[in-house]
Amino acid sequence: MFGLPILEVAIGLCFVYLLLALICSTINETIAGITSRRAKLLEKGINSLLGDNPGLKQKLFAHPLIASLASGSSGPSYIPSSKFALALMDVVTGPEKAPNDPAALRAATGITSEGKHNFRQTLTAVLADERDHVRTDQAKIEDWYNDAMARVSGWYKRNTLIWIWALAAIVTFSLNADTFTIFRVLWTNQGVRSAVVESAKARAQAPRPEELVPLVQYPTQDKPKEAASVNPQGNAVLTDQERTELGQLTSWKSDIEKWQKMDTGPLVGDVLLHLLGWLFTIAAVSLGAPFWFDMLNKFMNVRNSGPPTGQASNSAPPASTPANA
Amino acid sequence: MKLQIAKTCSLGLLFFLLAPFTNGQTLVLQQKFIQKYHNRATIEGNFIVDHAHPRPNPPSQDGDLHAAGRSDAVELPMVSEVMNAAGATQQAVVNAIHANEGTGKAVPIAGAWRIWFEHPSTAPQVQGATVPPAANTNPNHCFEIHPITEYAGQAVPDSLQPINGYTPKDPDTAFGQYEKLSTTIQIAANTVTLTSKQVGYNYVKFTAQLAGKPDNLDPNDEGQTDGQVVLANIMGSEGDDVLVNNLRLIFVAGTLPAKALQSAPAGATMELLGIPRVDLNAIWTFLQQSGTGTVTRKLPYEMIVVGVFSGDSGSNDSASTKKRTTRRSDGS
Repeated sequence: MFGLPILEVAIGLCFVYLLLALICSTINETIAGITSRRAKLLEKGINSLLGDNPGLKQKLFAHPLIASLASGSSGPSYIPSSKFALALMDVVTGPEKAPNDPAALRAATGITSEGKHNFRQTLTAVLADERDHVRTDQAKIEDWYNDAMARVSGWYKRNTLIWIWALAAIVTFSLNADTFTIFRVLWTNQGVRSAVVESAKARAQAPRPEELVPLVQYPTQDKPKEAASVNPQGNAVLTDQERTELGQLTSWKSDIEKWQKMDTGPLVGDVLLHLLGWLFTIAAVSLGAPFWFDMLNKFMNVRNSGPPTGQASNSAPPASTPANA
Repeated sequence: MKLQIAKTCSLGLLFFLLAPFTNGQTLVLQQKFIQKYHNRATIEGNFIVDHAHPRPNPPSQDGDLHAAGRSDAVELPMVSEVMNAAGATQQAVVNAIHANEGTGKAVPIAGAWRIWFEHPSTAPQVQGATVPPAANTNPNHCFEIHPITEYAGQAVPDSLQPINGYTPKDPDTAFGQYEKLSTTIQIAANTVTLTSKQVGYNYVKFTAQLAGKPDNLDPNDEGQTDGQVVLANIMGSEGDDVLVNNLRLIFVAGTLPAKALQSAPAGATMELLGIPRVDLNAIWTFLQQSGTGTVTRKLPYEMIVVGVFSGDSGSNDSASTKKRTTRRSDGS
């Protein structure tokens, strides 16, 4: 089975899905940053934790331990459990009492606003957790907070998934990334297929998506002053080569030209087929870049464990069809 | 004069343009500074002490003495710190700092330069802009001379040793945090802007397995050896896995750690105390090869070695380290 064109087509499809997923995740991260999505969800989670007590929430977010984590005009996007616990204890006990004063903490002496009763009841229950009697009040609040943050993390994942689906649909339609067309071009055009496989090989050796890329590496262990830049071209999501190949596999131009010459019946059928192809692409892209990166590496490993690529090309179908025709 | 006005205006404009987009952890460095110090362990200059702690921190906190002030060599809000400041040999330096505190007198200082986002400002800090006198002993700052090796002509190289009574951070936690840090690097014609999240985790005790040969760093302003740098693999606290590969360790010339490195065999493992700083060599290399633009990457860092534990001048157990597994990749 090694070196079969179908394997290279599979690599090509994984590669295209990976590139599209990278585009979507980059747009998603940009939107999330601009709209402070993570900070807003964190605030919502903390609000629910504090029993929808706006006065208490305001005091907590104004506490120097929390305020120092804020970025710009938006609130913090992450609060370590230790800082949350210390700030909450300080706010709840009030300025007259030490933050670790057990009686003041349980009486919530520092809270005078509405909603105090509900929050005090919650806090009393949290502090009464005696499963581990040596745990401090701070540790109990930290555990309570961590449990709530696991829930916030779930909200964020669900929220991101919705965004990714929407972005996958927009990107797929904008580029006319129809899985059936991509498959056909890869299957019939050996030149495009070979170029795509070569680019896929380079992409598979890059850092996994979602991993932070280092600025440099020190390739020679005896030369600690000599570094080599990693991707000095910068933050471009796709390389020029990848953009070219994506353009060969996804384009509106040839379809529009084709549709202009078609009668209504075949046109409707062709558009419906495209619709199905787009849906396949959207579903695939929504699986995310890390998924397709891992899948690409698996196919690459299978291909690399086979006979030399020269034998693979011998079994490929005739290559006469132009790209994306 | 015109040049000075133009420089001040352009820095002011840069500050104005950056302010709305930054989250308070932004540092603008001059490229000429990076060029000079990217392979230097230390920095020398004159330092005005605005405020200093009346006494060193207790050993349980870290034993340092903080002095906040200004330096013509740095041109940023900064703090200088004496390690093991309660030690008898450091007393002369501590006394000199207190004697000069608040006098406005610029006194020669030398020590390891350190850029780290530990006490970030709510506004961008621009190198070369006017630095007002520090309001207290710990103003917002991203630049430190830490540890001080010489002040007012008094050298304290032996202050770089483990702090008796202090519990250092464990390597799994500290390097776990460092490895997660990202930075946005904006390269302009003459400046490099770094934006990163706040991070602490000073004074980490870790085991380093030397991965290559040490190399001399660039000479200091007086043409003397400034120290050595070596690539090392950082081991986890259990000792059976690698936390970071090929991390730069910086040894300051004339200190106890530097002496230990000189006598360490190839591939030795050393129990060290270190503090992290931004790896300017990585930034310099990148800007040389990339030109202008903005990238978001893993924060490049290296460790200043400020202590060697229990007479460890390096033991060679590279055979056993070959069995170890890598948990994380390059520190840069």
